[in-house]
Amino acid sequence: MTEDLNKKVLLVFLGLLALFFVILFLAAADFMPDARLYPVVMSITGFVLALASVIRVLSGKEPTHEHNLIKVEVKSDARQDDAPADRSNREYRSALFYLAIICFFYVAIWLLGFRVATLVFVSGFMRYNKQSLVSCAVYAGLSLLLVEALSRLLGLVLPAGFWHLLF
Amino acid sequence: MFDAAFTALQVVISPEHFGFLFLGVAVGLFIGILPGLGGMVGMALLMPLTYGMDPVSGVAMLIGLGSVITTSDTFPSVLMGIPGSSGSQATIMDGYPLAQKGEGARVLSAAFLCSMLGGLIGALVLSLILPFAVPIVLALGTPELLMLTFLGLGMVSVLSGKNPVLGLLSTALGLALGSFGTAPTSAIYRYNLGTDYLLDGFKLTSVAIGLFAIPEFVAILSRGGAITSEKRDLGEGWMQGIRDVVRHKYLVIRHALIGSMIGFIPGLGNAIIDWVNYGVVIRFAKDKSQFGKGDIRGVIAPESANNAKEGGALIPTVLFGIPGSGSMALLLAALIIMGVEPGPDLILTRADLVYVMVWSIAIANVLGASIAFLLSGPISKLAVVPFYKIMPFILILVTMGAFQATRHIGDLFTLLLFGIVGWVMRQTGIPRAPLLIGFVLSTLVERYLWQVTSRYQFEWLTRPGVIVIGVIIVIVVGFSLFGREHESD
Repeated sequence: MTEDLNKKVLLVFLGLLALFFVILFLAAADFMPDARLYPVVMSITGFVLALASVIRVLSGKEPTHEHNLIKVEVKSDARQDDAPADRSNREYRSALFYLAIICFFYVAIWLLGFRVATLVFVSGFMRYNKQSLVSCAVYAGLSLLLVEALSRLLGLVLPAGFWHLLF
Repeated sequence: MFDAAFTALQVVISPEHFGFLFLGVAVGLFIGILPGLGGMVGMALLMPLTYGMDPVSGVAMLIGLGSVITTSDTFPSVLMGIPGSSGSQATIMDGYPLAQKGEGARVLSAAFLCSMLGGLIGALVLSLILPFAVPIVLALGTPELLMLTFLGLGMVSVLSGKNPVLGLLSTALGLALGSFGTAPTSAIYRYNLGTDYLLDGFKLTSVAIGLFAIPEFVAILSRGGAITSEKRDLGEGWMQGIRDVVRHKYLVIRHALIGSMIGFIPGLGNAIIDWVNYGVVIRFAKDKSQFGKGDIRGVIAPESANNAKEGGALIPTVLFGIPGSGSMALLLAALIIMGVEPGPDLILTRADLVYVMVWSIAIANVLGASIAFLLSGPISKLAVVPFYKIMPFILILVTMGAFQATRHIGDLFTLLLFGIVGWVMRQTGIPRAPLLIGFVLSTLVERYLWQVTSRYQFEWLTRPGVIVIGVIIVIVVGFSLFGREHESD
């Protein structure tokens, strides 16, 4: 099941890459000669490799499992009595959920500014992980402390967001 | 050269630079303990700090970090049977069974000591090779350098994953993404999508953090959040571990040298070095009966090799500007950020900086092993902290760091974009290191390509050096493409 899903995701990704290389090639046509050679060579090479990869995946030559990874065997609170396929699908959904959380964090930084977004993100994330309200407040406070300390110590500039424009 | 080496030592041990080296070592030890997070995440975490930093401090900090990850990653491998990073997978084979017998302290002390010795031997190998490097570098012209860059890229592509075609595709993607922004050969803006943010192309910090940190966070969290709740006592045998290393001193030297040599080859990462050395120690052992059940030689061999790798990996990085791994690519990128132009000229113009790298490896290994020895109790407890309690803080740190590249919100959206791309690549088995290395080397490749085509047209292809390197590329890439296919058939 997950193998199939990985294969579909890989095919979609390879298709998007092929399209990306085509667009790069077409856009390169407008560049001056000095600036054109490299992107043209790279986009053609990339397109050929993307196409070759699609053919290999469709012909079953390209294994689509995770590799080159550190296999961390998690001994967690998650249910261990599920079939491996069910567990993998749950991990897939869970991964998408965590990606969405990170997306939310960055959109929140853009809109609300770094400090407010940090407070919202950390407290929300800890609450999702079944921490008590007091723990959430402590973690949020600690994270804000970390942000303040580092930004003052190293003179870092952080996004301010849009909300302060209202006042 | 000797003067440069002596000056570099004086600089590294000055309080300011030593402080940054210590910071790198501390972060490296911390990252190594957390299973699933490796050198790339550590480098990505500290790289933003290098903006505006003097090169010596920055290099000391980053090398310090990279040198000790394979020291502290032994904790989870030995105590929990979980690799702390890709460089400690083989250590589990004999380290974990020994820890289960109550000899965890023996394994850890042996591992720390041979990690330190391996690191020192790696640094020694690097320092011995440097004096011979200058004439080699001077003999190379731009066409040969271009071909060497292609060779490095080709090797990284085909060796860093199981699918060479996908590796090559990943490299091509990195090289293509590197063409966004100003062309290095003329003042032309390419692919800036009408935004000011992309006038200089994608920012490396955001690309690296996105590709390597975000997907690891997501993967670890989605597997259940907590790494493990199992706590294991360190057991006994601290002195026995040291005696084991002394007894097997030739084993340490042999595997440290193998580690340095393999580290030199672009694309062969920690995981491969670990398993190759484990295989070699079994192959040449007279008594093989205890391997896999708890033979200390099965710990000594990979631990000596994986720390020695750093010295070997710096050779192509420093001499030719060709990083053999993702973390070496980040080191090169950090050099650029700090205003140092990496490449063959580095050894000619900044020999002091190259020797700072050598000393940093040596001192970091001694520091890392000493800290791991002294604080093994508290450090081992860190490995059982649930990841969801640490992840928000690391995410905040890397986000703050990524934003410092241009202080434009585009940095964060680049980070997010590459985080998603990195996660898809991770899930589907497309190696990510070639993308990053291609991205880092894209400007260099384009400049070399432009120089050779404008100066020599097609004549450069007939130069003997170019032909020799070209044949090697064909053999390496061809063997990987067709040899593996034949194997699988």
